[in-house]
Amino acid sequence: MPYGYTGKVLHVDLTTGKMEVEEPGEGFFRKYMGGSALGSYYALKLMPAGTDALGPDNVLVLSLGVTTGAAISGQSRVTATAKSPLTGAIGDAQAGGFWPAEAKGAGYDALVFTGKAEKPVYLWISDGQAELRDASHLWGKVTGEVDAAIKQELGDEKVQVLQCGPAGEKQVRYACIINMSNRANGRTGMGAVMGSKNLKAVAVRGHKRPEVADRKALAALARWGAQNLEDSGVYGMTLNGTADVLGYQNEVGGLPTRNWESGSFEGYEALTGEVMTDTILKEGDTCYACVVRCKRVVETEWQGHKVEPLYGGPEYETLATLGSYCGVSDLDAVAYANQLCNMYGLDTISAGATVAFAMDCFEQGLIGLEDTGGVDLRFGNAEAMVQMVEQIAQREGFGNVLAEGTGRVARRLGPEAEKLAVVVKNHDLPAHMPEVKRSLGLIYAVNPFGADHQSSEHDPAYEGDFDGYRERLAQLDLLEQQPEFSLSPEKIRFALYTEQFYSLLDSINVCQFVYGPAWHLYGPNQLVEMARAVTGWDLSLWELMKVGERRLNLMRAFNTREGFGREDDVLPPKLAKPRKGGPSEGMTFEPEELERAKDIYYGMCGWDQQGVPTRAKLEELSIDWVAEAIGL
Amino acid sequence: MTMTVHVKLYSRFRRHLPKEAQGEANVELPEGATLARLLDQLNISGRVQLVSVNDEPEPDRDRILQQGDNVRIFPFVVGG
Ligand code: SF4
Repeated sequence: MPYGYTGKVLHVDLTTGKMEVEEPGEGFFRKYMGGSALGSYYALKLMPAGTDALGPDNVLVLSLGVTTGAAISGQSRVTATAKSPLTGAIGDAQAGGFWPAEAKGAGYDALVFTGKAEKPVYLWISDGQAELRDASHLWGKVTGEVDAAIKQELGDEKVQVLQCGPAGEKQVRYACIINMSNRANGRTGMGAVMGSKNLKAVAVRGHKRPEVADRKALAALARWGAQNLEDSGVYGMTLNGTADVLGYQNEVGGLPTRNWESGSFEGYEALTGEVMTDTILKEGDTCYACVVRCKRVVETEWQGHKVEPLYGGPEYETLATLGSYCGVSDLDAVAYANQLCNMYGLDTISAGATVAFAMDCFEQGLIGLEDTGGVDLRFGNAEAMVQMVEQIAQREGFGNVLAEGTGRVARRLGPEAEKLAVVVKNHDLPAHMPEVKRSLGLIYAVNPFGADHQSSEHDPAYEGDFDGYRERLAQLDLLEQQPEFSLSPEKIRFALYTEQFYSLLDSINVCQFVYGPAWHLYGPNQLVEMARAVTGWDLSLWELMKVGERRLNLMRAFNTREGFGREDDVLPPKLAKPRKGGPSEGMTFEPEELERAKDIYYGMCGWDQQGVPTRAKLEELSIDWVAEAIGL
Repeated sequence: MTMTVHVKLYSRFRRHLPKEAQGEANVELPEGATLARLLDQLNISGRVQLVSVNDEPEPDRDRILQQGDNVRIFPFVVGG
């Protein structure tokens, strides 16, 4: 019996209802670890090139990792991988909560879904036994209702439910997957893929998780985490959630405002994590075994609508995209829109960003009241923002247009609208501005699933000399702190090495607030200690970093096969125009700077100048089968 | 002679003031006091990421403060 993981992958053919258990062996798990590396492996192996992302040939993988379910902070994560209906590239999203740890106990490290069920179904796994059940009566219901209904019909309150909401059923291209009614595999439309397969939910219950190799070592590390939490950089999130950063972002001109017109928002104060703590916060919440407790549970009201604790509370990204992106400074309105996203299963980032883009088009006269169904889509109009989120979630009215995503709507509206679309590979930019975090701009452009803020360490960690963080970055051979706003070769090394490290985190599948290269609760060497204690493997940081690099190459190879290349690794034109007002007044991110950085980055990756992994690189990573898969 | 400056503390630094202050206070200092003196008086050390005085970032801890200055102080903060 392996330590930490079950060794079992469940393949579910939704077309035939047939299920098979694969046991790929220890070598496979040590090489791919889980999460996104494992998901990308199956996506590449099982999916033909050019697959319709919303068709039955798409392959949806829900994967845990070799340490999921162990008694330590930050391990309860699930990754969703499939071809993205939003980007056409590899899709990838992580979520925490209690579902992942429970799923491990239910007996599998990964679930691989192929085909399409004839009628809505849900998968029920209980202590290794898997069964597809009818979900017709759950179709069209919001997440909270479905969660309760499944628990009731299975007669066990401890069942954990992961599901696509009504937005996923209706195949909104940025529909997400939700567990616990408030945790999201948010990005790249993985909920739409679930919906397209008529897969409503996956319910899990398990009474026995795999043994851990060295319980004492794991307990000592867990104790260290609890004792050092207050000194750790992540502690601000314990106090105020991820929105702890919002005030700072505004202070440095890095809070995207009115669809990225500006980096500072005059109404920011109402949206800070501190204000949320002082006003609508009911309590903090957590994921299985995590001492950080960064999750928010809020309770309030907006225009007679209740905002219920069941649906959690807004993250920083949500406060920015549904708030400052739209020029909205009404915390209750944002909390209510956040609840709608969690009820219907919508990615809050793309939902807010798409509404902000539509507001920009409206303000510029590219669309009018006749297009919006009479909704006055002006920046700052909280009612209009909420109304649009609701319409998108249900694919009603103008929301049905916006459900296609910013990039597609922009192309439909023409070149003037395209200039306002703040996307990379059709993926809306999250709320960290490359103008003030230059290496993040490079990562936004090259990241395989589109612009993402959780795929590398942000620049400030390598721009100041912070006690404790310096030593951890040194573990990744990052020794020379760089000046503010630089995109030097040394900064590009920082971007690449931390990208590979974050890629590892998404493969071993742990929380990027708990484990990381600087301010996190645990540093790189402690991640190695944790993984050794759980699996019993004699692991090193070298070996783990290779897993991260392997994942990036698998994803890149998937995209190569789908026709993506260097020309897709670009930032939106709006970023080349000067920001207006506040500390980032006049700042830009020009294409020339990005192209120079890409030359260096591709070279450092061992890719050709089209951004395609070379055969030698794939061989070096011991995945030469990928070269055949993409015809190298 | 003393002077008063208005401070706003963010994130974990809010705990350097009584809870009901919600991170904001008027602080009395001797005239001619520096930013370093203010940080000292508030007992703030460790990872300070950003201090701004009257809406401008101020990296110099020897900056001499004036009556009525507005000071905002941020620790190293993160969020996703
Ligand atoms: S830090 Fe937050 S998101 Fe990460 S595991 Fe802990 S509670 Fe969950």
